Amino acid sequence: MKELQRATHVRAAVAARRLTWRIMRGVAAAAIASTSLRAQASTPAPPRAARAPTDSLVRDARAKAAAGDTATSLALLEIATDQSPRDVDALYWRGLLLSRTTTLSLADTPRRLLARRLLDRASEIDPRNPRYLIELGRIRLKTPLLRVEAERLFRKALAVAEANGDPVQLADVAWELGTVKERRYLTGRNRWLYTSPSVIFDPLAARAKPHYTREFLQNFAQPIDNAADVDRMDAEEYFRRALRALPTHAPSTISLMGLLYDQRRYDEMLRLAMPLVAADTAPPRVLFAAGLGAYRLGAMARADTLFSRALARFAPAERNELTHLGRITRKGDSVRIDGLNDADRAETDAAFWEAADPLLSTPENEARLEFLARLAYADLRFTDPDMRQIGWRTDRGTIITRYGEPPVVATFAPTSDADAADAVGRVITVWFYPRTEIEFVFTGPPAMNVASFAGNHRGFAEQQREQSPFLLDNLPVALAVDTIPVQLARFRGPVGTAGATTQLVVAASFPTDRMYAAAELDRGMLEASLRVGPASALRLRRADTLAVSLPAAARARRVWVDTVAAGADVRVRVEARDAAVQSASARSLSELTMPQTSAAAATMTLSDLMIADRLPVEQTTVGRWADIGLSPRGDLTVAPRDTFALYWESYGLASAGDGRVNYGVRILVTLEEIDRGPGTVRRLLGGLSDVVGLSPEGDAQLGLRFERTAALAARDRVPDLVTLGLGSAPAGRYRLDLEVTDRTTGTTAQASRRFHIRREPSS
Amino acid sequence: MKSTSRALALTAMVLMSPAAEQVGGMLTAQSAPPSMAMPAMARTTEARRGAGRTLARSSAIGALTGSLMAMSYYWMSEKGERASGCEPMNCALPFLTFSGAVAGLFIGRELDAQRRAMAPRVGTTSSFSFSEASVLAAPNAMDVRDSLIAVVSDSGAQLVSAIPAPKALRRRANGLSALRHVVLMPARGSMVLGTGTALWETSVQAGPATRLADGAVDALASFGDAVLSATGRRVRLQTGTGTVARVDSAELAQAVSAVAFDSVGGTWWVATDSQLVQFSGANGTLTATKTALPLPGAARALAFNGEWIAAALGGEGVIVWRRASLTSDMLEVQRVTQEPRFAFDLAFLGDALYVAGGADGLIEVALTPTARVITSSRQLSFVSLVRSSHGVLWVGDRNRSSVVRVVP
Repeated sequence: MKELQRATHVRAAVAARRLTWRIMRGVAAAAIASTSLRAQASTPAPPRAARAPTDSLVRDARAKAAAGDTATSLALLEIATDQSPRDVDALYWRGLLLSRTTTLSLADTPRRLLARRLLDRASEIDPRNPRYLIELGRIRLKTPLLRVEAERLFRKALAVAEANGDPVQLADVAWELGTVKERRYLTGRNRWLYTSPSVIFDPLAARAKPHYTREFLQNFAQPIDNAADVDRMDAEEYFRRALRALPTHAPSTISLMGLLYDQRRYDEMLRLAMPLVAADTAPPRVLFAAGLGAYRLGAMARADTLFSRALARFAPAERNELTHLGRITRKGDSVRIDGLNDADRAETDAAFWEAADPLLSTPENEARLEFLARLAYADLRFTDPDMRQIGWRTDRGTIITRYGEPPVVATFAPTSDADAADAVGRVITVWFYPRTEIEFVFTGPPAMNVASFAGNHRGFAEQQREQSPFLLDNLPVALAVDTIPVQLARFRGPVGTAGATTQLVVAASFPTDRMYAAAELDRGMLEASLRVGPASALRLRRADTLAVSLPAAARARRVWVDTVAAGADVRVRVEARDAAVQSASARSLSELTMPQTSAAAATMTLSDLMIADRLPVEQTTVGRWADIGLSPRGDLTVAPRDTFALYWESYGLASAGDGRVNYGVRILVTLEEIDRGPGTVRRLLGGLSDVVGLSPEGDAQLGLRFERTAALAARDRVPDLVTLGLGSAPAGRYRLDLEVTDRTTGTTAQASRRFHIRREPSS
Repeated sequence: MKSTSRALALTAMVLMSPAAEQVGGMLTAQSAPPSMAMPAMARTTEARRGAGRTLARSSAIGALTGSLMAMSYYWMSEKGERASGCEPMNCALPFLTFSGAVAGLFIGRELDAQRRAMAPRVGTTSSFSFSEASVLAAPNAMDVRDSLIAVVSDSGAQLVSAIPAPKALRRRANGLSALRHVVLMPARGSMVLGTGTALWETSVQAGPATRLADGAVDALASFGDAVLSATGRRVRLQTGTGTVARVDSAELAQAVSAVAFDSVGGTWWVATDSQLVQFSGANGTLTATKTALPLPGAARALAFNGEWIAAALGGEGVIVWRRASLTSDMLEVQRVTQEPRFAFDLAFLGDALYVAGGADGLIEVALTPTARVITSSRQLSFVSLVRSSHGVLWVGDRNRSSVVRVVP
């Protein structure tokens, strides 16, 4: 009964305190707080026996706070401090909770004031404990105009912590002092100076005028060498002091890794993280940062492992948010991804990253690693626990994730010019990407690692997102990947136990001349591979190593034949790579639907057209393409005045009753686009002649019509081979159209193929 | 008079500000004895002495400048000329003097902070005369023989002339990826390159590179006609070339992190994560001797002189053994761990050991009577490589992407 009464009493008290708290958040909050504290100060210390319920209240309040119920927790702590005004635990936890739930805004001043008084009081009662001073310093950090005072308090806390010799406290205080210096460094680094006194950087003009940012940085500003280096060095010293006191102090480890990263001291970053990384319970942020260090060192496998470990250590909700593809896709796609269930989203993720991977033949997915490295960078450099700021959720983190670290960063000191509303009292940060000539401008308060889009740059970022939601133009491997010309041809395959199949012929022509153009080697070892399968589940089907004698005189060719289930949608990916040579990597990616065959056996259809070279093979009748010595051309390109073989198969031709089929063939070759070479004038004049119809562009270059009769015998198809030559047809892109008409049924089927006639070097 | 009081009050406020207290706080911390729990920041006496001096000197210079400006104003202006009615002697002089002193104080504090930040934690600051040659990108490895330097970076291999005014020469073995190691082979007129995929050799003059062996090269060294390379736990010694080439190999218990030839002892040394093992390479055959020295961490580089064997251990500092003690019962070993914070590379020049300390610069370590840092130079922003040849040091600066000739 007594328990029930007590519980009822506590609930009533909590309700009353909640009401009081709402009032306190109003305009009169400061006055109420002040009165309350005066009353507290004048209240004599309670007898020792009364402390038991206070301890219990503090315990309950901490439990509530841990569960996320801050309001109840605060109400309980208020009861505790009223009950025991000299109980340092109650004072501390109430002050801490108030402090941690405030922001930088002026509206939170009463809350900060109350927190400060509570902690001051605790510090007076228990002067040998630095935790009050640390929290007081944190409050100062959030109080406009009083941030410099924070450093003084932290120093005082450091002195107390040193006197106590408690390594945890020492590490905490040294880290806080380090972060004060680090924030100054982060604000001051990349600082540029206006060289013209009357000109300041205008974020609006940067959007309105083309090339404004480039011209401004070239003509009206110059970087300051070693800006904020002193603050960086001081910060490093403090973080190292924290780590000397407690080598596994995670906040100091992360902060110091951030400083080392800025100086490209990646070896040291990794070494620093080792004591924490070695443990199974390593904090995910440390693992993330270590992964970034390994990535920058080129240790891709290690980076992959560390990133995977980091992601596994994040809470599921945070991990989902972190790796959500929506942050690097257009807004519409992002909404569609949001609507997917877990399984579909996982499949979409896998298909996206598979397609984005520059080379599947490397062990790691470079595109995904770059994405994770960008997230890790945003987390490392823009996360601020004191400000409750998560780096990758910030505006700057969003831009980093989409476009990578900006090659040019310029920050400008605050100005008092009223015309530049964005710059008054705020630091302007300009991120410039010269390759794409785009810039993003942010503003934020000085000495705080906080910044958001300036002016209309948020709108511009959204606009840019629609145009290019994710760029990998900073990834050397992505830039170095050449294109492999590939000819794909589908023929009807055998019917196996799993059903009808399609024979897929993949002819690749590896551009070894370009791939090895800059390589001073006597020979290359080109690893070529073929992957076929549905999106997100490509399987390695063939892999060959081609020895290439250098300099490469001709392109290396490879023909693979694979069997795929009929009716399947597949991706076909051909890759070639010489890991020893920087520029020797190339790929080709195609999406195909395999034709249905079983149900439509009676319908007349054609295979794909295959353009090939004919090798000398003794053969009297036309058999399958491989039997008659055909070598498909991967590049679909023929030399001027050259001849080439055209091969196709007709399925479902009806027999006239004598076991023979009669059909008519019509071949038409049309010049789609003339290749006029690199000369601008020549192309301009050529374009004009195309318009007025003076050039052969659009003209049929070859028309061929003939009738054929063939014995079907036991075959399910009729193969055909025609050798074509286009004489002096001009270089360019051609379309070859084939029409086959079954004379028995009158059915017609078409197929077409594009090919090129190479331009002669002299033309 | 009132103005003067205000100015004094302003100066007092500035002096009492937290930032001003910071200077005093730092000085106190420096002079306090180090404790086990929290070693105080060790600064040189030179830096500590300089702090107070700089502040006083800057304030005095500022005050003097202000006074001079005021006196100039006094002589050049006429009484009552200014609309505000500020008189030269009782207004301009005190104001300008005080504002000059305050400005000087701030400048002095900034200079002082810079001086403290730049001061070495151990030893004294040294300054070298140097000349440099820019290379393609941040150097990954370097070798110096006679008048030629070979440098490899992520952008390729390049030769540099090892002369008082070094000059970048031709690029070699263009197109190779993941270049990590290089050694010059004067006897063959070639250079051997270790990459992430294979071991290559190319002439220093012209011609294509030839693949010597497959597999990522983790460490590389040469002497005469012999090349010792390491891939994972395997070391491979190749003597000669072409049809007369002889190859021998050996397997170690752990991955190899560094190899080097000790020209004094005429043996090869192979470092793993925990051991430094001596090999004989007589007649092109690799044979482990009985000498194996324990290592506290993976060695990044090895260096030798007549008296010492040294290894750079990255974050574990530098370790040295006295050569004579290798054959005695009492092994003499010394370590330098506090400075530099990360030892990338090292080289002996006479008796002095020079350590590439990354951001901590080029560190000179004396080994007798005990190993200690003598000087450090931060003239170069990131020293990642160091080699000695013909009485000078050749240093690779990662931030400046250059090869620097340093004359100690």
